[in-house]
Amino acid sequence: MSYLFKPDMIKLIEKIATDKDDLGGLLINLLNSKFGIAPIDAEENYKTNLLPHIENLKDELWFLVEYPYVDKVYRDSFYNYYSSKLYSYKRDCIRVSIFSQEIQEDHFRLKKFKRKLESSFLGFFVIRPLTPFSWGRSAISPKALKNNNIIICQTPIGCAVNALKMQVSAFPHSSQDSETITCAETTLWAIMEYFGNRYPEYHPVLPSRIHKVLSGKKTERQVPSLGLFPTDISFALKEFGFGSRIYSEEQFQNDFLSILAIYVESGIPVVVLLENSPINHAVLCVGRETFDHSQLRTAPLETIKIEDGVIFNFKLNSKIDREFVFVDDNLPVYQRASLFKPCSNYTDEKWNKCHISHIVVPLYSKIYLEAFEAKTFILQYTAAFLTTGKTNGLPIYFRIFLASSRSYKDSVATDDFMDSDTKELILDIPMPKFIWIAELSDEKLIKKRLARGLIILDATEANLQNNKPLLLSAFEKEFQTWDERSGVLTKILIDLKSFKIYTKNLQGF
Amino acid sequence: MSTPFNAAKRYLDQQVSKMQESKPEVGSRDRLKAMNEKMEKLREEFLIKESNSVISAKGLIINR
Repeated sequence: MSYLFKPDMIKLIEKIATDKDDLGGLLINLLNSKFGIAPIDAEENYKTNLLPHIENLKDELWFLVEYPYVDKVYRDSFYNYYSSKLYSYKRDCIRVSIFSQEIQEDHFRLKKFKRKLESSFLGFFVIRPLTPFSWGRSAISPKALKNNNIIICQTPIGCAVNALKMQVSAFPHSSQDSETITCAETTLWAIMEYFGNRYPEYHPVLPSRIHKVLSGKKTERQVPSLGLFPTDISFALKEFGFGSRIYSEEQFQNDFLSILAIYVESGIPVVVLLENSPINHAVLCVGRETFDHSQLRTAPLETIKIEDGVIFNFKLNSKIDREFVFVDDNLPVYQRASLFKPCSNYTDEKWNKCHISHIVVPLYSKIYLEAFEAKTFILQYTAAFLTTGKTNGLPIYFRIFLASSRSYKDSVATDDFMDSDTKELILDIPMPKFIWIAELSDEKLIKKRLARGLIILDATEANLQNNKPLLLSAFEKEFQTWDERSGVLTKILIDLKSFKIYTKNLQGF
Repeated sequence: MSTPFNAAKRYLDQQVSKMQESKPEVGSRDRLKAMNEKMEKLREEFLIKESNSVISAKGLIINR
């Protein structure tokens, strides 16, 4: 028996390098030739469903287009749903990798180009063989965007591009296919993709796993999906290992958006539920625009009256009216909008008027002290123990956030601004895995990214009596800590100078 | 050998000794008591807000 070589029997991976000008024509051609979409429909599909995402990217980028590509998310939907239909759905996808510099196919076979390719790699997007929901999984670095003065939660996402292993730092995104994943499942997938790639405690999940986790809770079939209840989202997150929390606008009113902003400042992607009847939608809030000193004016001046008649004035970083970054499965990744008008990027009037009704926060399971109580405690403690007679009416600028104690201590250890006594005291105090931090600054210092006071709370302590959550505070000339034996605050005199603010949660400020 | 680190440590050891001998500041217990009362009241309000948030989220369907 002999084997004859027939080229058409061997399925080879096709790859083409192109600049942005020629990308559209190439993709329309591939939609037609690989997915069997009629030319006129392929062009329409490109313009409606792919072009808005591509227009968001810088003009000078280069792209490597590969086909066939096995996408883990689409394949999961294909095997569990699309393959059971009469219509013959394609199972392969197209993948487009993004580079900041000019590339050629042969660069991937020459060692001297490897470092250049790695450093210029800015992510990828997948095109599914589905119409109109062609835009699939993507991981795109904010550096690839035309407008990129944003700071966001990012995780390293690996992939092999033309056989070379690469990595991009990005937040995962996908559009919904409206049958196996709606907006609710997509947000769950993106959260788990983020945490699963970043921390060993969590694992990425695929759509079928989301349905499986919720199957015992649902009274109807799960595909085609009609969506999920917010409590389903919270339940699934709990099953995936989080201590999830739900907050509603109706209950928390003026504090509601501030709570959301505090969690985002903590580097936690938050599920945001949007409502304008009959629309109900789920997106993720993953970051914010970078700090601009002029934004400070938008934070309201707040006061707490201290018993002897002194007024303590303050402003909260979490109440600055600024643009936040949303990952929305109906729109290109990293949409910027105010929390007061989160759907301002929609042209449809009904969508445009959506407001945030609830948020679901995926907290680490041992964070028992949540944002509202931590913020309340910090303000009351400051009023009672730090500012009496000292502030002269000048507002303190508070920045409150969660951080891992390891990352925080690492940052403090290498802060050249902080005086060595305070530094050693902070580093020597035992802390749990997560801590609440309040940095106390003012309008002049924050411009230089500096603070002049600090309160650190134990995030595992939900008992707010007798200052129990307090690990330490450092303000003016006093370092205060909680002495468990005597049950009182104890003080050490220090010479606290201005110190650098913490910027590792969102990799910037 | 004396290093800046050792010097800082010695200073801190002295400070910690002073701290252990220190007495609560006059009036601090009263402030703590007042704060405890405030926190207790705020916690009660928070628990109501928290449970109502979950209840209100049950009636909402997420579609697209």
